[in-house]
Amino acid sequence: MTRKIAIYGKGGIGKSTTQQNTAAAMAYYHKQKVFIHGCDPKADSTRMILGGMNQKTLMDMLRDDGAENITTEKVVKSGYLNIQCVESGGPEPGVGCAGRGVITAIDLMESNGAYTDDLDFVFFDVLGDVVCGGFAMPIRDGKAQEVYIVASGEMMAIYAANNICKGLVKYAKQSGVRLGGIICNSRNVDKEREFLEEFTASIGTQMIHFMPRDNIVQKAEFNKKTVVEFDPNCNQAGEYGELGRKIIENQNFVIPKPLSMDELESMVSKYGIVD
Amino acid sequence: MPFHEFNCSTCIPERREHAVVKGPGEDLTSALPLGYLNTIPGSISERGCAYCGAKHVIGTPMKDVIHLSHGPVGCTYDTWQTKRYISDNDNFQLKNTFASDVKEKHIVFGAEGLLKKNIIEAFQAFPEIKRMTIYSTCATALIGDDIGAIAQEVMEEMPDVDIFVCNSPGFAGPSQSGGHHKINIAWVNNKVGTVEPKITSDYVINYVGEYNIQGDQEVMIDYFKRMGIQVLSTFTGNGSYDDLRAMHRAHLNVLECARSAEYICNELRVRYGIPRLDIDGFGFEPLSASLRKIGLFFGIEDRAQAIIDAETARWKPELDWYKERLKGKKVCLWPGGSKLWHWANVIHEEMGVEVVSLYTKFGHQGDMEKGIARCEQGALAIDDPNELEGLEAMEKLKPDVIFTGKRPGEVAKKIRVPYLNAHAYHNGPYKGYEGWVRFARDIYNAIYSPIHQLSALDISKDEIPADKGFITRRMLSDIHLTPEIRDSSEMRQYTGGYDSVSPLRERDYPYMNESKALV
Repeated sequence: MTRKIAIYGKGGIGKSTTQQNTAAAMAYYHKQKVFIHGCDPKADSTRMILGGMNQKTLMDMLRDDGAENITTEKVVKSGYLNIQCVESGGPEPGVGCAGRGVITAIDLMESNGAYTDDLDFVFFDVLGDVVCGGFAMPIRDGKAQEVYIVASGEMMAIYAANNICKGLVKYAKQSGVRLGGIICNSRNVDKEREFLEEFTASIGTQMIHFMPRDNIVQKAEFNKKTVVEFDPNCNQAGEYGELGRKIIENQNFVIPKPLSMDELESMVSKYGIVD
Repeated sequence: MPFHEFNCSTCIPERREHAVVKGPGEDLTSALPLGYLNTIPGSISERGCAYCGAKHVIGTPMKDVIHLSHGPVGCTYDTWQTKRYISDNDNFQLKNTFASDVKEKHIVFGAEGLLKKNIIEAFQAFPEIKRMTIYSTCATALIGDDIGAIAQEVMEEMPDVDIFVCNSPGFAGPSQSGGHHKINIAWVNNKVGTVEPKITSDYVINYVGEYNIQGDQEVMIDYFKRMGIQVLSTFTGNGSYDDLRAMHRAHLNVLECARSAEYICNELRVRYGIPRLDIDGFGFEPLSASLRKIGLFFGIEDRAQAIIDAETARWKPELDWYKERLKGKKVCLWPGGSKLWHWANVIHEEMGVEVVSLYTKFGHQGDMEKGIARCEQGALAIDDPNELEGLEAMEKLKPDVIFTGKRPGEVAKKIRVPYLNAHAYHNGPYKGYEGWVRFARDIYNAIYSPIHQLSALDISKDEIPADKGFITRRMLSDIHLTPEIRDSSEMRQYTGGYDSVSPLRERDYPYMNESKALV
């Protein structure tokens, strides 16, 4: 059965990077069939898998060709290790409704039967700020069943993660979506691991993996490649393989209990971290 | 408190305070329903939306204008042509409606480009029309399209056109009333004062809150011109866009529908010091009093009185013919807003009918206050009714006719209650002396139509007599009249023509010529 996973987190935290590297590692080390649906209007969720941003997005096609002419073959591109990729796309900043674009794109993919049963994983990579209902679409109506939040030891990242949990609670009953854990994408701040461990424990989930900071990630990115493709023997590739394994084997799915603002503030001051 | 609870609404307890019965000896302090609140969930309201209130009620009666909705095509269709606000330019604004036809892709990517293309296309398709109004709808308001900026851009590129933008999406208020308010304020903010009119009389008015339903405005303008009064603009029926930009130069605002247009009158008073005079074009006495008030304001009461005398002598015998035949007939007065109080008392006084119920779809408590004060004891007053409550009220009260909109009206027909269209009329105009007789004739024709007896027959079961059954209205209405009344040589049926409006356009106005000579 296909597991559908939505990745959320504060803007700039490294969602797309983590997600693409993990997907590549899942395909490389664990022979998983993966599909990535990028839900960010910037359409940069599949760049490293596809070796560049050269695909026409779903919304481009809707605008130019009309909904009735969209087919899976036209919009889904095959990348590294046959990972299937599609980008929703959307308007330029400041016009139109990007949230509606996310809804429309997912509806179109579903009605075209793009999420086939032979897939092991579908990843929805969502814009950092869930600014409206449209960006919550991947966790509504039973679309994605699992959510992973990318965070770091910085206060604003934790604050965003806590907020995303609030949204998740709202949809958990209706759609059955559960939190699978928080991925720490390390920023090398003091006591980062301890802070994340305490935070995840207090909201009732786990820190599924502590992803160390390594410049090879940026280096691979410059080469439009995931770490696994760029250098499968480096340490960081193994870390992504490890995260992939943990996700594949994960049994810890919860409805989180987000903290109140006061609780969050006191936890922040305890670790003495000011962003 | 004499609240009335409908059986069909017991499951919505909040509805209880929206209906009252005006009991014996009760005044407004104990018999006033709640009003102008958000519709209660579960109650299928007959209300319109704020976009409809702005565009359909107030914007589109303007005659020399391209009226464009920025939104899906359905919003446009549903606010087009269902109200007969005719105009003397061959009904341009009734014949044509425009939409930017927004689709899914425009929502996602923004619809400003589409709007601009539509504006230019519309002006090119109708090169003789240089004025436009644009209305936002729910969809384009949500995505934040800057309609004002696009309009400005087009006006810079096409210097001979002028565009008015109304931002009143459907969700911007509990009912259409919210839209009335928004477009009033938008017009006075953006357009009033941008054109200087030519003043040709010592007596200058704006005629406000008048939508020229089947020619109402032209009937009233005829009286004003006969008094030598220059009507700078009508807000908005048969009104001209540029005339309405010059409203600030009037000496007096004569206000008809206070529910939909008091806002602009109040603003014109504050900003330009123009006083507001509320008048009433319905019914002999209210109309006469209104003409006298206007005459008094300008010191030309004699001119008003001359009209009142001539018109009353001409039409009163015809009104009385109907009054004798309508006496005691039960009426549900179920209009949208202001006709509630415009009609509540005068149809009783001048046509002899009994108002057994009144309701308002979008009126405020103030409208209900005036309506209840003027209606008969025992009447059932309902705020924001739903269809089931309307049916229950009709079954309980057994009215002979109801005056309402076409949606509840069609429901009434199904239970064999005739209805007259209170918004768009049947054979109007209903304003003016002759118009009031036309209204009486329509009521008479509705109540006494033999169709109601015929429609009660079940042709699959009932015996249908083949040798008799020819019935006329007169046979039904005159059966209980005394011979003196029935054969009266004073009273007579309506003798006006099919079209009572067009001939007015040819009339000569001595006082108007006189004041022109002065200039």
